[in-house]
Amino acid sequence: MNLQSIILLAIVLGLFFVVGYRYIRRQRKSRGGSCCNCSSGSCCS
Amino acid sequence: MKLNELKIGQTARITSVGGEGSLRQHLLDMGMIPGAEVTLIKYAPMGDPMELRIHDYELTLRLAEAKEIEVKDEGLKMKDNNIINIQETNLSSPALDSSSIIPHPGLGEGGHFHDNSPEAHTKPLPSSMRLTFALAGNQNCGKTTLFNQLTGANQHVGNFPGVTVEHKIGIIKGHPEAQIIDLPGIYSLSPYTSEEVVSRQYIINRRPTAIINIVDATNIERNLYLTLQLMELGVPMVLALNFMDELKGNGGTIRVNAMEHLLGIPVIPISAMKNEGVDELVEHALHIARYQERPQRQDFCHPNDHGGAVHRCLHAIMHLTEDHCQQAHIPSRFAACKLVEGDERVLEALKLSQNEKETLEHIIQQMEEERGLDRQAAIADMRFQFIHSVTQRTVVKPRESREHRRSQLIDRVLTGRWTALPSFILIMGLVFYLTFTSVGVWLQDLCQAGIDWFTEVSDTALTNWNIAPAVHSLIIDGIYNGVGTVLVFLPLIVCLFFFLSMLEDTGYMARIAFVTDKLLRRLGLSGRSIVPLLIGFGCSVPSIMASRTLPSERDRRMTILLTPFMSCTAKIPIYAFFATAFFPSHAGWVMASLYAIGIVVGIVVALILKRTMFRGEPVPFVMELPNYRLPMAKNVMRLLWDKAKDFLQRAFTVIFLASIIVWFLQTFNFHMQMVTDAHDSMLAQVAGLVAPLFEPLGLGDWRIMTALVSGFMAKETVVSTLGALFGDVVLTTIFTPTVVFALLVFCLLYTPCVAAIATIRRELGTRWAVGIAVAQCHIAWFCAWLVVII
Repeated sequence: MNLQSIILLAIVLGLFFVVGYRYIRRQRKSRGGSCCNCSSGSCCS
Repeated sequence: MKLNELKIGQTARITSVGGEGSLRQHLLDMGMIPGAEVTLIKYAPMGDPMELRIHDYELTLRLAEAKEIEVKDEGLKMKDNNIINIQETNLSSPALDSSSIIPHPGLGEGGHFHDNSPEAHTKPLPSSMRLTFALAGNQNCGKTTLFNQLTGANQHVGNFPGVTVEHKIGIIKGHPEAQIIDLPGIYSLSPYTSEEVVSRQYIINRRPTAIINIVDATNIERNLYLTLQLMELGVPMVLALNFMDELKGNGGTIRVNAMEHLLGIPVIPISAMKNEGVDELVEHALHIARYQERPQRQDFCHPNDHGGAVHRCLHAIMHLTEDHCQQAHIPSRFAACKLVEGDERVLEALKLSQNEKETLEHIIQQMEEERGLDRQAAIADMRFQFIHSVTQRTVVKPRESREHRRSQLIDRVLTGRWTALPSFILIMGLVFYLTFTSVGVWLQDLCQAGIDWFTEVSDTALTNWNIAPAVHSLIIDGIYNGVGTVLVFLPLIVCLFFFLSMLEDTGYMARIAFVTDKLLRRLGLSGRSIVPLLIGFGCSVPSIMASRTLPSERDRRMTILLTPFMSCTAKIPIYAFFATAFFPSHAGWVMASLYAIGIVVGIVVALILKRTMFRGEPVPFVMELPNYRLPMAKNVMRLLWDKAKDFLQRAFTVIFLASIIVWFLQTFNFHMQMVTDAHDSMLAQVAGLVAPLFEPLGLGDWRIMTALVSGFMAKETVVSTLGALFGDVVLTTIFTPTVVFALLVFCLLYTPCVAAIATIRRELGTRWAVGIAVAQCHIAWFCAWLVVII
């Protein structure tokens, strides 16, 4: 695997973990509810 | 005679209001009090419910409830002013005639300190202290519009009673220390629906620093009813008269100084929509909060009113319960009124002794005897008499507003006896036609072309950079294929939400409830259930939350159970994906039939539930019909942006994650070796375990199983997973149209997504949420099986 492939894979995996972490944190904060109906997110707190 | 015996256009005076419990209290709170004039406007197309005009606004009521109300036809003609026989002595303040000039009382303004307690003069609240404002008012009076203006937030605003179903918090612009809470709309502090309970609990238990009470100036009599109850709480309060521009535009006005003088609270005319008077409102609100300026008037009864029966009763109770009120931290005037009305929660909180309870009952019975009205009616009457005294002195009634005249004309067609149902079918047909066959599809093609171009460019770039095949596959086959397949449906979803928001913002949604009430009652639901159900075609989450506007737990539960049968926009990608591949010339019909199947199954389930778990009648249909209004472009655009943003967020979170996970599971085996054939992958082996369950449906393919399981996270992922798993395989060579239709029916009916389940859990509890998910999977399997065998 060449350097550019490793860099790209690192970026994708980094994104994967950041997005996953933020998603789980948001789900926990909203107790599983969705922010479908609220734009500011304040109603999900 | 009974109210239901009135003829269209006939006006009569209410003599007594029958019924019992919270419905009767609600009717009284809405102004259905003995002495009020009521005019029958029309019946719904199916003969029930009826539309009435009372206190200058339109109210709907079923014939069964109307039978409980006695009226007297005195040959009255429809008038602007509905209350008659008001005792002019109801106000203890100096008499004011319409020509008196009242100097500006200056309540809530700098340099004036209106609280009598010496501490208030010298000790305003510390400037660092957080001020909490409760924004309270009737439904559909512009609370959320004002909230958005005050905070710069983007909450959704609609023209339907009960858009706000839970409180929202924001910070007032330019005042970081001032927090404002947008409460759901309420008509009184007697809780009738669960959203009203939310507001009442907040105001009474959380004790905000001050209240901003917004009222609809064009319908002030009914709106002031809540104002009086809020004033009884003794919390600093400012009154915002919204829609003043509309009132003045129709030749009416409000003598603000006189109203401020009579009510004893700052009164600010505003137009929340045009952002007029909002800064002044903020200044006054901050002032009364900092200096804790409480309402100067909390006593609305008068010793001369009908011999002072209500006055003596309330004051006797205030003395009787004073110590209990102090202990329970409940304002004594508020507690007295609630005790007379028979509010169990207040009675419980006060912890009265048996002896005191008996004394209380004697006092109330004496009042009933002297006043000639039962307890609830007497209190409602006392409040409305005071309101009338105030409005008579301060309000110049407008001629019939242009908005109202326009609404009446439109309603002749949209709620007309022979035209209502065809109009409803036509409008809904047009919505689905424009979304799924013309505008939506055109935009979708545009989007698809953009995504294809981007994928191609990226593919070429990755090849030129000599990216390793595994990483290349991860990006193109995993991420681009997964996210891109879903992203293409964004235009359809935005289109459907656009039309649903138009229906709501114009005020047509309330008419749909009025027109369909009788039909829905046969299914055991109330007309108000139509709104959550229609929103369900957009997204189940707001739809489940919208069910809070339903006044009974039974109706609410039943509506929530049925909502997932209304096919949400997240399922559109699945339908469109298969319909265009397998039924290219009948794609529109296939999609329409799926929506129809969802509705039919919903009806069957409703009928079963009505005869089993939810026996009994749906609760009465008491609802205000708002005037039609042109939706504000800003409001509609804001909603569309919110929906698009939400969809994009999902695409780049859940679907992005799911795409990578699915790609990983289908590319590697349990020994972490890349597989050349997906059949050897981890995914194939795990999904293969469940596959036999779906053999009878012809869906025993592990790839289908994987897609269905991933759909539990978000329905859109079904398509992205299928896209990733099938890759370049031509689907028409693997499945028959019957099997595909069975799959579509299964997708339509099986468990709602995790967000919807979580919302159901929040609303009804874990047992219901799990029960609904399991039951829907069974129903989906059964219906898909029927498709296969038929």
